[in-house]
Amino acid sequence: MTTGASGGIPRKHPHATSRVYEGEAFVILPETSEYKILNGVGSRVWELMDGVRTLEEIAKVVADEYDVAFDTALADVREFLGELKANNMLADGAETP
Amino acid sequence: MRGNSEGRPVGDGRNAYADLLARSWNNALPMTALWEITYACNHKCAFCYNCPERGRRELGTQQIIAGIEKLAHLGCAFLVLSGGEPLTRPDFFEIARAGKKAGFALRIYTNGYLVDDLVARKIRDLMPFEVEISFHGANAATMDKLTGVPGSYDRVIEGIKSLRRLGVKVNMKVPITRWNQEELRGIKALADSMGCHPEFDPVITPRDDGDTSPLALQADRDFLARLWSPEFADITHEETPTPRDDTRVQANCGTGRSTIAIDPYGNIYPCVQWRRSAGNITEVPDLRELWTKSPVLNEVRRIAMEIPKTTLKTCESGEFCSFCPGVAEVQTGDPFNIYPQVKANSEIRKKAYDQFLQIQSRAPVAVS
Repeated sequence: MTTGASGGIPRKHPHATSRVYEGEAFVILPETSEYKILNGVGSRVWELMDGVRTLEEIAKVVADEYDVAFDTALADVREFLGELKANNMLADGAETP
Repeated sequence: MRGNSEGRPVGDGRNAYADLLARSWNNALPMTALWEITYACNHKCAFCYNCPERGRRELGTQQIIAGIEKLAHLGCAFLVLSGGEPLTRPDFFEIARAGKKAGFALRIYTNGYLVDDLVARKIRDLMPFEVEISFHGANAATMDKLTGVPGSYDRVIEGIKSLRRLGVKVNMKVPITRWNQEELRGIKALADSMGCHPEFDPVITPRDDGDTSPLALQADRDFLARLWSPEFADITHEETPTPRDDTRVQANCGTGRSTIAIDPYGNIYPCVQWRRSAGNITEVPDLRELWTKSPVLNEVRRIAMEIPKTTLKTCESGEFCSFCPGVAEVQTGDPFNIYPQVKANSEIRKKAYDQFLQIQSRAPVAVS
């Protein structure tokens, strides 16, 4: 599965900027002049999307940190990436996971 | 991924942002850093509030870039590059690129005079969140009179068009003065024709040294009464002024809470309007420590929390008061003092609201 780039590495939109306030990522999309706010877990996934970690590696961290089964975390992260894709927050060329 | 207030991992739109802004005011979350990177300007606007310090050297490129990195570490999301006229700095784009590299969403406040096709392309390549261009009249006579620069109207329009051809979002910021008050619809039509969003602002402030001469340019009281009526709902975006709602936001404003301002010499202020220096960005090693421990910032925060409970309660039209403690301090010496123009404006707004309610109460009720 490619999500935002090759090799299963989810990539943020290159022009998106973000800061974290009280555990929630405030993401700014200048191309569309939009703001997006991610909940706590979503903010953690966004932070883990460093352009190096694969989808599976991110899910592993989430599973460990939130004490859930890996398969559950993987499904949730995939779903979340779908939300990011729908909100134009992923790099161009992303496929829906 | 569940669990934010909307039950979804990605919240968007006005509600989520408004909620964050309210929290930033209540909890002192630094969202916006506004840096006046120079006081040099190629306009001579009649109401300008800047007060350059004669003979004092403005910060150099590397000093500003180092300061930008400190602001990023503080956690601000927006970096506003302002002035004076920021594009007069030869190193403007080097500074702006440093802001992008530090992860900021850029806002550029300019008068647009220096924007040609080349400059517009360089601005486009920065991918700014917005470019805000000051605009002052629906025709050259009015605008050039206010800027003090013949030809400014034509030059600025060409600059806006250069940006718009490249798809750059441009907001036209229009201070309402007695010189342009009858031209607002003409300005709006011009903005609409260029695909820009106009923002009209009736607030004129004293100069930062307390000189109140700019206030002579304020819009007429009679005009302000019309402005806040349904007649100008297309300009103000509201049928009537609405009273303050202190249930959600307790602070009077975001001074020292959601904003921080820097002047061309590196002085740090709680906002662009309140010139109480909290230090110099070249001398402060860690802005996070300043943000939490500065006695200046903590004092202005305390004042901002007190104002809705004191100043605004003692004023009959306090619910409609866009009170600025910074203006109050520079104009009267006391940040709690109601100053004449805010009192007048709040009275007009309250009267408009009362009239609106009377009309509504007499309106026939639709029967289904």
